[in-house]
Amino acid sequence: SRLSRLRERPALMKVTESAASRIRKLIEGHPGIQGVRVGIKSRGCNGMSYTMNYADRKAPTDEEVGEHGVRVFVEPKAVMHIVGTVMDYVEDDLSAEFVFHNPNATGTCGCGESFTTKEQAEQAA
Amino acid sequence: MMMLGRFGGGATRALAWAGRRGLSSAVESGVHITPGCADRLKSLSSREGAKALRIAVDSGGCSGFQYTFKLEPLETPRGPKDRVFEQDGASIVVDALSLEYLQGATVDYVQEMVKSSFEVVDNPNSEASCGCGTSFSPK
Repeated sequence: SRLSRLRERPALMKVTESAASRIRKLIEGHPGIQGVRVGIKSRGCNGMSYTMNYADRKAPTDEEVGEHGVRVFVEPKAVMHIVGTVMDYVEDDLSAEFVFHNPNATGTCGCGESFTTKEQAEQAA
Repeated sequence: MMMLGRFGGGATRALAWAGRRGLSSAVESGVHITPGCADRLKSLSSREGAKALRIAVDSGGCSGFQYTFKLEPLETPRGPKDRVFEQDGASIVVDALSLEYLQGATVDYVQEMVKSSFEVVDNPNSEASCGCGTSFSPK
């Protein structure tokens, strides 16, 4: 049945407690904002980088990841590039950032902000 | 505060730019500190004791050179070639060699949803920079 198929499917992306707590803080005081939307765009020296924006609703084509009480929507074109990714949030005095641990990344930029995947390399070829 | 980040960074940059344009050409040297950068340094200082931000330029990164940022206690003894720039109660320390690549540059604390960090946002000595802005190639 549809339900068991859904149950068997592993989560598209994992959201750590630290990332969820930051997302909750970002959304707080923004009535009407339901979550954040994660996507990718062509940028950076290694092809792609992650984008994040407030989302007031889940778009019909979005994939949703719900963990630790937050809703993260993934843009359809980002799905195949970030399947299996762990989304974390790390903070120190010099910077505070969402970090995406992406098993599909075959190369990353020195700063870790942009990355390449096998799929993208094949598309480009 | 952080909510306005996406726009705040741009506004801060615009302010910094306007501020620089307003200055006469007599003040061309040195490193400019945006209000956002000063605020962040002040809030770190109030939490952990007075801090200065040390910025250095090292070789590395995908564009040849990269910026490194480090916080140090304000009272740290300075080297003879260190220069200190102050603005709104915030201090930035740059060594002489790095300053050659940072002359006239602006330092901001850029706040975006994905990432907030100290960045060199506008460096007249840089010809091209990496997507993330930490690496650049000099003119």
